[in-house]
Amino acid sequence: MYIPSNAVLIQTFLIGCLYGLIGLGVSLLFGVAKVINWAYGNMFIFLMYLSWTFASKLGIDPLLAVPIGVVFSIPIFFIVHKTMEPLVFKENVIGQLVVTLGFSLIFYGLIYVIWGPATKSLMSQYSMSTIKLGETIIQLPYLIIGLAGIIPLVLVHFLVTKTWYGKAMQATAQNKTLTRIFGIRPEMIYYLVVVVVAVAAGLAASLIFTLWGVQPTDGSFYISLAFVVTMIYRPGSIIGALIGGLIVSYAELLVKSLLGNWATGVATYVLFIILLLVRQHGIRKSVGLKGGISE
Amino acid sequence: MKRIKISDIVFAVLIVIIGFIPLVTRSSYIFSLMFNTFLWALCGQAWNIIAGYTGQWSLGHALFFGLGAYGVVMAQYLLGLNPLVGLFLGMLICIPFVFIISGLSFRLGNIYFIMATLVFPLIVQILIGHYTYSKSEDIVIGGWQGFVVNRLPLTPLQFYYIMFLLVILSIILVKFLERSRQGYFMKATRDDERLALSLGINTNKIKTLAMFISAMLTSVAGSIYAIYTGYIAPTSVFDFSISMNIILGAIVGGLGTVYGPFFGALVVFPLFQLIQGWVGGKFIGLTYILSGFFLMSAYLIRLRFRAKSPLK
Repeated sequence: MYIPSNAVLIQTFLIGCLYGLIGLGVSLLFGVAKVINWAYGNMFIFLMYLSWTFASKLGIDPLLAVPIGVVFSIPIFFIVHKTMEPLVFKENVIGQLVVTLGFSLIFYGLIYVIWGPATKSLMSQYSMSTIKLGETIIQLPYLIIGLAGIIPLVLVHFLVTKTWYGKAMQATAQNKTLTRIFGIRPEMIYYLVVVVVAVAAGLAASLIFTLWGVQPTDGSFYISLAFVVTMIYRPGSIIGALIGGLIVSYAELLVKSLLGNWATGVATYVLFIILLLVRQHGIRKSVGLKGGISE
Repeated sequence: MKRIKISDIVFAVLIVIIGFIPLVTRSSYIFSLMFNTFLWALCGQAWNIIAGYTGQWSLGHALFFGLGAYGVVMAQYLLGLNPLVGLFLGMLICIPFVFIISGLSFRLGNIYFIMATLVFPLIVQILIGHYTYSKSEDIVIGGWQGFVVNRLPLTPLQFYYIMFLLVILSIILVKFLERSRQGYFMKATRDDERLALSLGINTNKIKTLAMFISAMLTSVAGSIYAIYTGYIAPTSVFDFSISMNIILGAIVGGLGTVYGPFFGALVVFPLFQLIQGWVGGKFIGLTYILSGFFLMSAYLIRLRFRAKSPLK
């Protein structure tokens, strides 16, 4: 059996932060706007391909491509969620499912048409450089993605809990009619959530290239990762997203050390099913959307 | 007294036309095009039983499709038997999964059930991808590379009629199911599970039954697909796009109707093949884009149409 070193444990922690950022999108959409975006996985890898194109074709560093990725991610998310808007406010869950599955297929197809089935990855100058933290030596890319994952999470957490807009979001999540009486338009809050989600997704998608590449079938991994992160504590909770990301990344490490590299993907999927069976609404029960479609 | 609806007449006319196509043309292109259409019509009909009639949206039907295909592989490589035995072996392998997945639907709310079914094919895909089969020391096959399946000595024409017959049988099955006691129980489970329970219907049993019928039909389709193409890999039969192809015909044609999946498949898949042939093999992704577009627009158009009609 393989026993991970301190460096690996720290790197797993840093990957967990990025996983939290990846799952934040689905968590916010589900927790605040009460909408499930089933296309999130394929949209996410579409963004990854986009930033790969910017970084490799312009010949710039992956980190410099991050702002471009974010700028492109906002219109993409906006188009998808604009189409879904009537379904969101009628709380038509099956409608949201069918429409986002349609988008999911469209993005999947676009990836094949534009980039083809091959794996895309990037190397930057510091891919191999390391940094010393006391006794342990960790790789620089891990440190970058860890920090870049946790800083937006903290910012979004403050946005949601401390600012007026965040309180308006929470109020909308609890009661749409009542917030409308107080002069807050739920549509505007919905768009605000979409923009936050788009920025988070664009950031995570561009950052991930400092670590590993992407292939067209990866979408299903990212969507189930996002679902785990959403379900693990409470949909819409940012701390929950961080905890979820960390749990997934340590579960992956555990499965990897027990069974070997091939089973890494299985960890997320099995964890997800167990999580759903143990508790449908996350460990803390959420307000709002009930399990059933008919309800 | 039985009423004959317009859809019955349209169906009968279509059946006669499709049955006589081979008299007009012998082009193997037409046969393969229609074979694909029938394949997805059969899968769509199978999915219709569980999603359209029972209301359990399982998005992981690629699982049963893939297991059916791998049943053929197991019969050929592990047991050294005829692929036709594999057809039954595939159905046999599906049975435990039927119980697992319908067991999930007892416990999970609808949305969470959909999420859970989505990941099942992925788990099985990784497990099968890890498994390699070695006939001798240095020849290792299987895993992500996939298996070559012995093709039966059948002509495209025979495949055409086999698939055609299966589609008609599945439609007749659903037609009978719709009017049967179990069929009414299924619809009651879909419309209001609590009410169905209070009327003494064992909804868990009904869900399992619907999942069983649906899985068996999908597994047969998977086995025949494996025999027809002669090569399968985990990425080709457990893929997300297979699940999407399964639901596409049913959603375009209309869920919870007898002929919906058949008509839907008949509209969508020949069109895809024609467009694919027209742009050439370079654009594999175009089919996905089109199916996404069809899925979305079929639902949105129907929603708008229903919202305006007074009979809501």
